[in-house]
Amino acid sequence: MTSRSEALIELDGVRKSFGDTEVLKGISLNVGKGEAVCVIGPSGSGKSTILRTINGLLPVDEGFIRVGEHRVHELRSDREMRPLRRQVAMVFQQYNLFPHRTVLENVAMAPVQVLGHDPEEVRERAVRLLAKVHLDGKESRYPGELSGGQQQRVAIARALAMQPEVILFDEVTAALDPETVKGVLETIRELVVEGMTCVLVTHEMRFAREVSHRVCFTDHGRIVESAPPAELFDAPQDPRTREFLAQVL
Amino acid sequence: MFGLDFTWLLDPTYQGWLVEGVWITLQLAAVSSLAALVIGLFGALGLTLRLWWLDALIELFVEVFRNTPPLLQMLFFYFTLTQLGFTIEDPVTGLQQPLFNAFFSASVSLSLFGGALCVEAFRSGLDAVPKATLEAARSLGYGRWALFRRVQAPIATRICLPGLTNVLTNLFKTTSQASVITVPELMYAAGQVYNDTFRTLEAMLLVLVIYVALVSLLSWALLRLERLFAYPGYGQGV
Amino acid sequence: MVINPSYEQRKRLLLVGILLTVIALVLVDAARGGSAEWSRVIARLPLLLTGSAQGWPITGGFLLNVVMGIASMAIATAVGTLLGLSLLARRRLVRQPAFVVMNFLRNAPWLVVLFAMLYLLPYRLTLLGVTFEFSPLAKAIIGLSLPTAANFAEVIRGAVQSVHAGQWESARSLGYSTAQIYRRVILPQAFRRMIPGWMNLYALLMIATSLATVTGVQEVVTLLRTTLSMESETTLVYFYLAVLAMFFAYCYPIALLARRLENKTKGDSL
Repeated sequence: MTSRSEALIELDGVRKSFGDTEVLKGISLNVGKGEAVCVIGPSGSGKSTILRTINGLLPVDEGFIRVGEHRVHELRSDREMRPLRRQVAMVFQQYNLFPHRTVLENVAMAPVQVLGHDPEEVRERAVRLLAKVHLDGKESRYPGELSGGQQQRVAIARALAMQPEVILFDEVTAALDPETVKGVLETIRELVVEGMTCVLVTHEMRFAREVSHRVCFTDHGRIVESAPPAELFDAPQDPRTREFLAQVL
Repeated sequence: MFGLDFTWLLDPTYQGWLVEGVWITLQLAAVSSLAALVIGLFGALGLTLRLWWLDALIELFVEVFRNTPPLLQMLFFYFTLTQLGFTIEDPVTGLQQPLFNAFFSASVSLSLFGGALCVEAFRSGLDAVPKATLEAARSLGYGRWALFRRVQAPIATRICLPGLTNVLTNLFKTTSQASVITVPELMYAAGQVYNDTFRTLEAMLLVLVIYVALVSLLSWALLRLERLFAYPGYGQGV
Repeated sequence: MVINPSYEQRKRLLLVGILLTVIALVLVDAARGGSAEWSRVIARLPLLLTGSAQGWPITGGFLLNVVMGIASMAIATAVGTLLGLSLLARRRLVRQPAFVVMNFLRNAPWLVVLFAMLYLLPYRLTLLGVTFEFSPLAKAIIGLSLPTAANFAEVIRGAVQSVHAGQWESARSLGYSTAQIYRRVILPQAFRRMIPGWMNLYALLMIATSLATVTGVQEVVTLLRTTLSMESETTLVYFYLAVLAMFFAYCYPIALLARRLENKTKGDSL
């Protein structure tokens, strides 16, 4: 309708400041349907902030953001954003599960309470999704009883239960023990293969290279370089990208 | 070493006075605790509306009652309320009774004092819900009210239980001050006993033990409640 | 210039506004010759504050509450520290009695402890050849300091336990002894976190000094009640409001400061 391009997600000239610090200095980014885009870069370069502007958790100061037919920069309240949030799910670094609900309830509550879907149908969906993330049998546990990696997979199931068109992953393995990272990454890889549109902020360079269709390198609030992984990792054009990759690889 | 003499305890008259005192203490504590919880709930709900003038008024209420002696509050309410001179007809005797008697004044005063403490306990519970958890709920599409009802309030209730235990035991202990305005509760009954027996130290020690037993029982029960409501694996030393 | 005050600023502005309005109303009233009630209160104010009608010497009144509060706090700090460290002791023989004492005193109403002390403490006690005289004032101070000490012990325990366990491990692996770990590592960190609790406790104690009226000490509530017996009934509300205001003016700033410090130390955990 109001789209200026064919992309599912479109950011143009997005600026955002916290107090006197400008965190985003004009971000432009397109993500096509079914595409997996990884955002990499040094800490404090604004990676997580980009994700939070896409689903409206952070209002932007300037610029244009569109997801599907929603013009995010024009939405003001949580109520106006509800249809957007239905389409865009998010998975967090600290999982942020609801400690007062069981695993199954964590997955099923928002579809019932927010989307008003039929509880029985949602329950079945939740059980199926938990099996998909290899957590069958844990339905009636509480989040506090699970390991970090298990909690993160519940969080992914919770995101999927909303039947979103896009999932945003915010450094989802950064808080995990190394041995549980693999299971989470495996789950994400399956989603990408199935054609889910994903935007991932990550420190796992190898994973970024394997899973994504395109990698964006951010530094000081700007996207410095954006290219398919093979190109960006093997033949980076910008000196800042080269310097960063030299440090982390 | 003090030559303690507790033989008067065998006298049914004194037993009766003390039992009656305990009964009134329990009533006073129950009434004012319930009212305090209701006041605290409405106060905390008022704060979540984020209206600056309401916020200011609630803060004024909380700080005034928290930072002045409950004893003076009680004396103040006792003298001002009874001075109003409203009376009701006693259904049994047909006599005119003052509507605002000592018990009523003490209840009002303790409810407001406890209510101020409860507002604070609920508020700190709501504040302690991790911002990240709320962010997750918002990103799932929860609106403000649904977020409060489904996520923030249930977690906050759990978090504020220890604080609430403190408030309620504190309120229970404060009921003893109602004796100063002649509410015939336990402390007052002790006074009656020693005026009669001249066994001041014994009466006081006995009452001290009774209070400690009652308050310990209350805090034990509330601790059980805390355990009952605990979410497995959550909040036990992160 | 456009002034767009933030939520917090608006809130504070209203609170300060209410406070100033109340003060202004009382002052305007007093300047105009004043309503009869307020002029009675003002006439008695020196008595209520200092215990003497002329305002000197200080024999009682609100200043006596302040003195009692400070004296009790000093005793409570000393006793509470001992009790608190006993709670943390590794020997059960030390720890468990300390727990019993602390829980007993914390679960006892202040008023009842005060009364019990009044009758439990003798008028005169000779210990090691030194004779102590227990005036009602001394008894009140001791009676108030006991529950405060128990609460302070709990504050100490909480603060020490809030120091991350890793600190213990790393200090021990560096070869420090338990006493050294307390002195060099744990207590310096815990100390910062104790201060807000200590201040809150002082404010609470100050409020509780009003209970000393039951011992017959000439503190402000006692004086208030004797004054009221001589004044007409219509002035009663005004007198109460004046004394409530004294306590509020003294305790609220302390509570406020304690909360500021608490918010400041909250961040530096771990």
